[in-house]
Amino acid sequence: MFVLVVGGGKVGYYLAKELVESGHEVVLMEKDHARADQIADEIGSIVIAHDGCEGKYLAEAGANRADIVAAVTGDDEDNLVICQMAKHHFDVPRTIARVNNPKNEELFKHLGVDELISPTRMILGSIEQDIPVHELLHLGSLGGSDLELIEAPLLPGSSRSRRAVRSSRSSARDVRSRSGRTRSSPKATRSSRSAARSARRRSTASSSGTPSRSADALAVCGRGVAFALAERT
Amino acid sequence: MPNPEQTVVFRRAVVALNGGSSDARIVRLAAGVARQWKAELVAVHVVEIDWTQPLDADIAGRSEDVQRVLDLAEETAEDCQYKIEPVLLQARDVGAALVDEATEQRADMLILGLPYRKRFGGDFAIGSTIPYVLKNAPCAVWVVREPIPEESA
Repeated sequence: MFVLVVGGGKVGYYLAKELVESGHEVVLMEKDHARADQIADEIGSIVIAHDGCEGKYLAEAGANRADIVAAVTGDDEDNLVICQMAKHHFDVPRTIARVNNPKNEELFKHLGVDELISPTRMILGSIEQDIPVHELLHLGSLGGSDLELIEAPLLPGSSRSRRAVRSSRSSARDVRSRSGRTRSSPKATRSSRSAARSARRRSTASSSGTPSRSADALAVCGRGVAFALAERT
Repeated sequence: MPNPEQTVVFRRAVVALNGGSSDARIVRLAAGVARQWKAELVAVHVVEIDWTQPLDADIAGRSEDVQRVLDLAEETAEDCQYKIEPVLLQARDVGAALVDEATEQRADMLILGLPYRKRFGGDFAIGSTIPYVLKNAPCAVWVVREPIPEESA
């Protein structure tokens, strides 16, 4: 596979290095000549010391035959421009962008970037899992939808605590009633299969609850916790 | 007969051809030295492939100009009554390819020519290949600079 990596920072450097070691054909673009020379000394002659935001240099780097373009500079605007050119001018089948500011994610999606990697979002998600800053914990987003998997504690004396769930409708309501934030949505049915699988794995690992799935929502209750599929707020 | 007390200069040398006027000169020099020690000579011509094409694209093999560079090296070596093994490579970077080839061939000498450029007023443009090879080659490197033509001197 021919991968064009734009941006020779830490991410670009290690990405290119790993890809080369895996046997892929890689070219890395880095506009800083000193940094480009340094990378070339360490990885080999796969570095083009030019700005990947310029179409002529992307062409020079072989964007016309790239299978993947990964824009991993520290600048969201540059990453967006690179992916846009790769996608629309060079017909690259797959574009991947690093998004530093999570607020830009929607814009990137809207403008047709195939995959977004947001380190900020990932770290934020991880922190929210470990430190319960909200009553509902974000466990993960479901790609391509407005849904997320959340975890919520059950109140002492909840009718669902330590009990197998027979009706997911009622368990979903159980979660909703605690926060008023979670809403069941018709959209949930589209992703419920994959969500059910991931929820089931988590449920098995952390509790002895029984997962169930209904037409409009998903909820899994275990010992003192409930997992639910909720619309992203 | 070589003096047995003399140090062997090389046992196997890679001769880098650039398709320029210095090629015949370095092949003659290499053959002259190699004969004393019965050393092996490998003539390497590297064709640089830009990133718009895959590295294994059939470019060098089809080019008559490229074949001519190796033919000339072989003919020059024959004139010196010595044998040279021709190797044709395609690479992204000439310097890196020469260093890799010298390593792979277990060469103890890499010989390059630096042609005199008659255009643009005439000078020696050292370029990027020679500095790269000088910096990275695992073996000894012999750079043969052409003499400055009399009319330019």
